[in-house]
Amino acid sequence: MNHNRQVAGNIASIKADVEASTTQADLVEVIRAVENHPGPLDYNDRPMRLLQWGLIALSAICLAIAFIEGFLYGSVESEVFYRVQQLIYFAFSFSSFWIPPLIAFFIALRLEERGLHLPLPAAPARIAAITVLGGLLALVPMWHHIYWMLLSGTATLVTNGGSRSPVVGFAICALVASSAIWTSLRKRRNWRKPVSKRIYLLDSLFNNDLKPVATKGRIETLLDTFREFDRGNHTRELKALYRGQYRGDEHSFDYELYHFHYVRQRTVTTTDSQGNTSTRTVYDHYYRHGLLLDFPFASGIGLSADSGLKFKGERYRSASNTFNRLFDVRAEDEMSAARFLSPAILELLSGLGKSLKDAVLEISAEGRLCLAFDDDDLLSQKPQHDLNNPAAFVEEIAGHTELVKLKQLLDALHGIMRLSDNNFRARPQTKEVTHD
Amino acid sequence: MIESLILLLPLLVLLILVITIYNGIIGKHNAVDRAWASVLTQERQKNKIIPHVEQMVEQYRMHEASVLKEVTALRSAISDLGNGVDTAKLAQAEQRTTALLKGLQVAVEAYPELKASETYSQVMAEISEQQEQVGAAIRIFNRNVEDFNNAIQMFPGSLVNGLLCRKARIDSFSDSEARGGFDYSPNL
Repeated sequence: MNHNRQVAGNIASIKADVEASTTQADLVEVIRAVENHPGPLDYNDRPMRLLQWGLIALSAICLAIAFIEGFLYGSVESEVFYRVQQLIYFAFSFSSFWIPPLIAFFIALRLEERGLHLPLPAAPARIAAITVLGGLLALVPMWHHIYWMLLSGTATLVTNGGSRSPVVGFAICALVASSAIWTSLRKRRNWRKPVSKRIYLLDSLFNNDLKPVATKGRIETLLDTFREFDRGNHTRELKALYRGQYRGDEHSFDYELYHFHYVRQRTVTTTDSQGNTSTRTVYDHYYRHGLLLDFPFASGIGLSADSGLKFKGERYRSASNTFNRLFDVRAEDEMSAARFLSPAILELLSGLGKSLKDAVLEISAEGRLCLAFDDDDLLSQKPQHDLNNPAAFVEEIAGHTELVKLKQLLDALHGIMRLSDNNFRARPQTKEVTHD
Repeated sequence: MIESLILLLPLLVLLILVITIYNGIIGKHNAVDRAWASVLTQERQKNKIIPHVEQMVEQYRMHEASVLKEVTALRSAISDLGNGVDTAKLAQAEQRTTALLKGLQVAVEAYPELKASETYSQVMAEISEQQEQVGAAIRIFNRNVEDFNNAIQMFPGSLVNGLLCRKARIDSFSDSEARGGFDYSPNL
């Protein structure tokens, strides 16, 4: 208990150090600190593992008994089998009494670990108190009725009416609980992986001069500016927003990299074999990624390679068959689309359309550009090493992690700017990002 | 009645197929025409540079007559471009642009002040971008030509073209000067 509390504290402190890092050197220092950490950094989950295997064993025995009872009744002549069966049934018939304190006991262990405990001086006393409190549930008469109903209901539901035996229901519940415990233990054992991923992401952000930006209130203004954000009918939110700066040969510009999440709500009606109809609401989650920047060289144009998004306005077809197959182009007037979509830009956009999934390029009437797509690999490059091998991980983090795909997209956008500007006019200076 | 419908159905499907292929060929032919018009538009955009080059020559009192000669030759090559597909005239205009670019680069060596000036960098950036635009327009034209040629030469397009459209194969654009640099030429 004490050990696990120390581990939880140490991990929380490492995570806090990671979040407090502002440079690559800080991250390297955190990894070195993990490498030389006096510990403990690994949980001792023996009681939970014992519970997990106990539940699996109990589930297997219950299922075996139910199977023998159902299919081989009378043909088994072993005395041992009937003795075991009697013993299991005895224990099982009182399960509504011992299950609540057992669950309360393990909850108490977890609470101790997290430092959330009753105002009692000693840990064993606190655990015993919570266990007894859990046991008090058995004194509520209604509880036993609900418990047996739940077990029978689970058996009926899972076997599709094939069995209503509480033994089967108990076996199923024990299996589900053991797999939940297994998942939770696995997550605790592998805590280094998500922390390593976070370190790698922060390193990529530092290396590419990307800084997180507050997302509060931005989605409403983006929705007013770009049709791209008018998706879904339930939730729309910016999961992440980063700001960076691109320095090109001819133009330098600020840009924002976003991760957009939207939800589509729909109602599904199903009819069963007896002709009864039921409706339920389904929520489909979708994610889009993209770049936002100022683009003072064109306005009011929308290019969509996503069949789910149609722009309004006059339709324009370019001279390139390849481009026309990829994008549907709409503009406030055909001339502005014709002026913007010069041959070299058509080639650049055709390249983008082929390399990105469901790409959309939108230039608002106010001269803001949004390049959006389904691809989620702009920031999610996979590290070669992690905190399980701190020495190799330090070496990897200390190097320069370039976001290759992001750079390619920014180069393409710079190319579009270079080809759209007027060479004989004074070039616009680098602009600060204006909030939409 | 049902038998007649069963007989008519394949004929109807065939008719729709022929109409689709016919329209596809005509559409692709028109796309080639439009892509060529785009090439000519980009080539004519070079007229935009000429006044700037002339202004530059005047402003810096450049004595190299060759630059002005190249400017005149380019202007004449651009005005010679017709509306039809004439790859030879386009190649000539392209050669004139390259000659002007080279002439400017040589002449400017004698005028370090001009070389460092914004006007010079603007003109050079514009010429380079226009060359890029013409190159892209030609590549788009060649891809559309490929689309069209495939449509009339591949079965069943070849059958529909032979019977109804009777369109001839179009040659893609190739630069004779660039081609002259290779010993190899594909036996197409």
